[in-house]
Amino acid sequence: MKIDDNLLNQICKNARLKLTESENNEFKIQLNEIMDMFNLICEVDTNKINPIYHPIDLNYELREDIANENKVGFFIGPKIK
Amino acid sequence: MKEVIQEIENINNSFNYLVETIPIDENYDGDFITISIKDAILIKNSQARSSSKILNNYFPVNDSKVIKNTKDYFKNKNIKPIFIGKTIHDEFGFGGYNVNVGIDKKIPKNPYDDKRSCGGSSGGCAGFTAKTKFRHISIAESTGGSISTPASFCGVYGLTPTYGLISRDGLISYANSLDKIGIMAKDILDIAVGLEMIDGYDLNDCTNVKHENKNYVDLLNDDTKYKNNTIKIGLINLDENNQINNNVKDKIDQLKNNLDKSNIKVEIETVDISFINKYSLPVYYILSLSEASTNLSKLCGLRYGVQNIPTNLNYNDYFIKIRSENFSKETKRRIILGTFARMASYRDAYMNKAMRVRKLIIDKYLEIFNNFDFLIGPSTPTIAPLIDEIKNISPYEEMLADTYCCCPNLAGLPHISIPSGKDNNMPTGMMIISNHFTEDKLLWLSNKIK
Repeated sequence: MKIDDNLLNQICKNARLKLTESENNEFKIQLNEIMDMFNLICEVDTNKINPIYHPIDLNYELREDIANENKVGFFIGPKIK
Repeated sequence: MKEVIQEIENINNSFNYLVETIPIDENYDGDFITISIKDAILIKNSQARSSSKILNNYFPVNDSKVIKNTKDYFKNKNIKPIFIGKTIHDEFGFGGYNVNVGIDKKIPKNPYDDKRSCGGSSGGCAGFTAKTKFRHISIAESTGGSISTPASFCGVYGLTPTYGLISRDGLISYANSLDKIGIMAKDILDIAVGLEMIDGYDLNDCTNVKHENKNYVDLLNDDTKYKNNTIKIGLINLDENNQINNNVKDKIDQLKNNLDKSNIKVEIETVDISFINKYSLPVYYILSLSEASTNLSKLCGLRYGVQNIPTNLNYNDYFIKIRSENFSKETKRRIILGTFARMASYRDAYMNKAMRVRKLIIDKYLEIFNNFDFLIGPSTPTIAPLIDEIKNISPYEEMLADTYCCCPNLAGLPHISIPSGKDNNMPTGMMIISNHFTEDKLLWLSNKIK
């Protein structure tokens, strides 16, 4: 996978960035060198592995799902402190 | 306190460790401990720029949780915490050498050789801790090695706790599944004090694991748990001759002698972590940059920091202008890579794939920790490089600075870098890694290395 001019333009559009011409030329070479490192993971067999979003198991503490409805039909929730 | 104030000014004029000083009451004459704070961590009434230009003039309205915990910790003690300033680091944490500071910021200099790097990203924390003659704790942060690398380069202790132990509330995020607030200090006692002071469960941080605070200071010298057991140590990151480097070897010999004096047995053997070493760096960068590019999307001149009054620009063009003019090159590069890795057409091949490989890496570590108590190796592959040399290397080569440190960071494992002598008159560090939530054990072992 290589990053060419078209792809770089699309990425910058998504990222709300505008590169100068010299940044564009400089970045293409640098980014593709880094991409060679990224592509290493393609060789790993992850067939039966689920993705993880955190390195440890997290048990989320949740408050009770209650809210008070006020007169005009809106729910009032607790203020974020 | 006048001496403290003068020292801060002198150090900063020569080494550029602080982006901002915090006013100190010069009439206070009781016991104190000075505390510096990485710029990405919020303290009320001080700018929080994450060493960037785009966040100039952003003043937080609240303290971060670690600052609140610190203030509470010292309330009933006979020693006062003196917050002295916000330390410089690579912009948003993006770097291993602390040379990627914001466009309008100065690069900090190594305390042992002012032509060399402090290491990053928490270079200011490490440099100031090494240089000050007063008792000092620095509150730092690590995503992929930003505590261990500068601690090693500057000759100080640097602890990165387990992911999820310390609240991230009030930390300007680099990568939410990787960021960990930690401590730097000149000795292991102050590392233990530092960990106690920042610790404290936080309901507001859904990634903070519920736990009871431990008395890390008291546990430093408590041998009871280990007396009738054998401590098993695995050696990692050997040199090209498959040998542990001499500085690390000397420290391990010290450790063996001290454990022997306490009648504690130790077994040491080498451990193969080639899979972990090979794939940690690409996985770390794919995931951290994907998360970072999302986090930085909120910096667009609308709510935080630098703002212009647009007269003829639509919102999109305004956001593009603010971001393009105020992010450094390194930040732009990383945003581009992160945006790419999570784009619809490429997400499966990169971001999602990396999350699966991360699972494999963590499983390998957990398997190792079924048989070993600790892993030990050098913190970094080299000593601090010359700043001029870093300017000539490619961004990819700069990423290689994280080769050793990114591995335990990716797995969320606690690890500490301790000073391990010198090489060419520059400090070196030895890294000790232990299993999740075993900081007491990690500090206990580190205390045995003297």
